[in-house]
Amino acid sequence: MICLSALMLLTGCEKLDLKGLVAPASAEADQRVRESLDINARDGVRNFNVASDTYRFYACADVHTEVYPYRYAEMLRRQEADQDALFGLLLGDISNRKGAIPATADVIAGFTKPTLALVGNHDLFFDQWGDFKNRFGSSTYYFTVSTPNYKDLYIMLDSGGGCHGQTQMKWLRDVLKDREKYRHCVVCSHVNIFRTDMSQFVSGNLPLEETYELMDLLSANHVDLYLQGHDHHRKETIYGGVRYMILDCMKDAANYVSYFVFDVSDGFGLTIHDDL
Amino acid sequence: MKTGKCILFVSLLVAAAFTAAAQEAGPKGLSGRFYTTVGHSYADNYYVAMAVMTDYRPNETLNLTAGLETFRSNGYAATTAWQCQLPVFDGRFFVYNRYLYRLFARWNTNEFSSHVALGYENDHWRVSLGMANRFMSPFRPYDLTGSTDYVFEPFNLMYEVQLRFGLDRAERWHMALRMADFDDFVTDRAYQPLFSVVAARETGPVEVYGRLVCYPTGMLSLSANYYQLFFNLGVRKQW
Repeated sequence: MICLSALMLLTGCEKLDLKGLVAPASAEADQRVRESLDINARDGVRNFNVASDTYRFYACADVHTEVYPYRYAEMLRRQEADQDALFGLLLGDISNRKGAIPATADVIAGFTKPTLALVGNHDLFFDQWGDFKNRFGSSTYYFTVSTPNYKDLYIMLDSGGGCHGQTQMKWLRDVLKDREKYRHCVVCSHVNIFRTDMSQFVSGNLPLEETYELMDLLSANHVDLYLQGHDHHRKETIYGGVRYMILDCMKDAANYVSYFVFDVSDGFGLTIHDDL
Repeated sequence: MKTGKCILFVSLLVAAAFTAAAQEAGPKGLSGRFYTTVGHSYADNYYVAMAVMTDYRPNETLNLTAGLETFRSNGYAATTAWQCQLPVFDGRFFVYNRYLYRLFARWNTNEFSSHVALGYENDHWRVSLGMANRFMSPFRPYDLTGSTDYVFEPFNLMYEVQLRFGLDRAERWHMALRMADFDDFVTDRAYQPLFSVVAARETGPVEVYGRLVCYPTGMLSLSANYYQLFFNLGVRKQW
């Protein structure tokens, strides 16, 4: 009875989308990807030019904004003040309730350094895909960083519905055909694909067959980093030459949060900031 | 996709499958099954598969199962399982242990999983709860590393709920509904349940059966999405 009351309360305050747990709550994966690709065709590929072969980017996941993202806003302030920071990555689960995506986008708009985002499962509940699309644009896209001597490739994927889907996997295969033109390749998606410890007991993953297809694609194309969120607990696994990293969450109510700062040169230097 | 939503909804109402009476307390001796699969997957479009299974029941307490499957393009699976059972009330308390090897040659990946469960079954239902672990590794080492690295998943919750209808031997039609996160050649994650419904009919020396399985992804934890739908058509013979 207590559980039922809690469920009804959470549903009533638009935090828990019961329908979304058993059926698509927003457009399905292939539909979202098609819409993202349409946005890409309209907006083109974003490129960042930097004057040095080394640069820095910030990455975080699972902000789960209720009304205002206090910890995430602090990270954005630090990113803004960091002269070496080129951009920030926001790896899904921006929202914890209906209406939180525009609220978070408004906070991001107060800063000049760009934030590149992708959609998470919570961002699809209550049909919030429209909000994401309107404020952040595509969730299946790539962007590049041009340094004096190299070019790096960053690929953002949509796994909010628990799978990447056929359309997106085909798109990914096509994008990775040009992998050898780039120094580094980083792929980002929200849902973690491995269940290597008990923290992942409560989180869902991609279907196994899609996982195997993805793992092979990443290894065969020498992808350097695969960044994920969703699990809320950081973890690094190396498989087939690829570093799979799950980020901690940035949720205000969480006991432990952190964001990652990557210094890109010939490799990826990582500093984890857990002082928020 | 409206079809996907309908499938999810219907599947939730019915819950799902049944491995063609392989695990029911049938007659002692040897039985064999052959079935084909036709399906549609969000990752792989349309596909076909074929499987052969043998079940051996030497006495009242032991069931042994082994099977082979070829699926998609360059996919192969082998499984072996045993179930030890003791009569309790109107049914049987059982211990179930299964090993599954799958090779996804086109994706250069091996998978080996082991699954152990405790459960109870009678003529009308079957439930089990257990755990599984899994190794994933490249079939051939990647050029980049030359290593034999692997991923080990230590714990996956395994469950099965099955409702059976018409299992009385006097009936020629049997039906079952099943929800589980494993199948003959699948050991999946807790949030990836397979919902299935099976109908079987005894026709002379063999039993013919069909099974419809819906496989959503993202259930309960993620935002759900249709993932896979497949149909098995098979025959079973008891010797």
